[in-house]
Amino acid sequence: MERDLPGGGAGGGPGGAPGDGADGGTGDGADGGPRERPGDPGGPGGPDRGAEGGAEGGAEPVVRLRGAEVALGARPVLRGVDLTVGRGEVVALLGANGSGKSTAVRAVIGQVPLSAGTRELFGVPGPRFRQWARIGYVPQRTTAAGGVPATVREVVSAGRLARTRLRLPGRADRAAVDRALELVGMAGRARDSVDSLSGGQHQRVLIARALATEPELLIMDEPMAGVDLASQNVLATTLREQVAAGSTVLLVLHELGALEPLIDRAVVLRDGRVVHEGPPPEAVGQHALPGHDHVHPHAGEHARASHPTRLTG
Amino acid sequence: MEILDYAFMQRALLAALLIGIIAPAVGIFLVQRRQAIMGDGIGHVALTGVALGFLLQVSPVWMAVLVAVLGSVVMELIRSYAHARGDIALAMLFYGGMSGGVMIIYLAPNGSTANLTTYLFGSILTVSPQDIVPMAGLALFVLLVTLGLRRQLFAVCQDEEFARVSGLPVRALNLLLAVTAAVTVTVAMRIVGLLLVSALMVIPVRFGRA
Repeated sequence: MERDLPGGGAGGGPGGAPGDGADGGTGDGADGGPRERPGDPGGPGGPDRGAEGGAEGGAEPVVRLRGAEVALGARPVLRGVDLTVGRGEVVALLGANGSGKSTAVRAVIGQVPLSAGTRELFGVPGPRFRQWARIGYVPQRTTAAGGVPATVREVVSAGRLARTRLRLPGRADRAAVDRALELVGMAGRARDSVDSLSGGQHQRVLIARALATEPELLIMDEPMAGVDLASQNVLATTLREQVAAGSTVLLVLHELGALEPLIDRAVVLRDGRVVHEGPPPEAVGQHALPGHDHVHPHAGEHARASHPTRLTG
Repeated sequence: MEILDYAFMQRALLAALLIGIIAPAVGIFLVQRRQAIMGDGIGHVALTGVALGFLLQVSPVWMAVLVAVLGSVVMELIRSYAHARGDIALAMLFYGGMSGGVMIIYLAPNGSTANLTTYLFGSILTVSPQDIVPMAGLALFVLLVTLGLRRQLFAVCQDEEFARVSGLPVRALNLLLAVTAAVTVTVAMRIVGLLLVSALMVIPVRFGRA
């Protein structure tokens, strides 16, 4: 049910992706609803609701992958990943380039199809999940700019679409955009073109876009990559405030860096498997991580196989 | 200014005005997605429709609308599923459309490439009263889509993955944009010609940058 992979194998083909976007509006209206509904398992009340993960009574995990396997073309990228993120938890996915950490978060939000295993968001099985306004997504920043320069405010306003969908934005939506811009310290640049921003400022705009949704769960793919120190500090502060306000965070990191004090739990991936899970230990600093070795994603299996195994303990 | 007293001049001006508004309105989204050349491709494919119209003795314009819409939907599917490797498939579609038009026109009774010249290069002064009404209707459709859904289309063209995670009906919006572009090309075909439609979709966008 998910889309084919960008740049991936042709394996999926048109037949592999029915009803992704086109049926987006048919779900239960996630739009406009209040975000305060912590106990609500939230599903559209489907027939097999009893099978959903709300059994723990309000403590249902926000994110759950079970035995998730993903293949890009013929190459397996995830080989049975279990990942659970509880409400209010801050979980960092760590690992070398090519370890599958980005693929894991993209699998969580249904952007790469699982070849085996299951995924759940807020206790709802992935394919039936429609409450997109509960998720704020910060994709990996790409350097490719659009052909038409957009302003900071236009980009951040796109974050409200998860709530407004096809209706016109109202005063509350504009206020949410203003707040998000304030949170990342970009309110003064609202009218500037995003093309004129530095890498760090651009990243702050993408995070503001996710915050404009007023999500319960923030999912960020390498938010600190290529970000200058000043912006790193702004981002760390923003994230701390979000966590203090009760947000759940799942983020992919190359190294813990400035965010280390915020992380409740680190999950380290290697070759598509979880090889370490727990509180971020001292040893899992920037220099002990396999991520520090900058293995090129296209390097052959040999390059990865000959990697010293530092994290088997 | 007595030149404006002629009904055909008035129609020509009105038609030019319609195209001048709707072509960049669609073009801005294509340029944003770095698909500036798509209008050109649709134009090539529309030529097959024009020739089919002559062959089947039906309106070349409406046949061109039909074929261009089909072609643009195929292009969108190639873009969405084949990604970078769709490049050659798109090129083949473009040239197939052009050569298909030339081949089919010779199958039509008394047909020759001379029939296609009007459509390739446009013929603004020959816009008839019967042309204006459907033209205005199609232009209205294009304006409704591009203005009414501008936030959603902006989000899809700017960051497709983010738009999907926002729960937007991304595939439907992409197809709608493709259809809208096809309609624009075929409306503009009689005015500026299939070969230069894309210029009206792209150049105003380039110079409209703040």
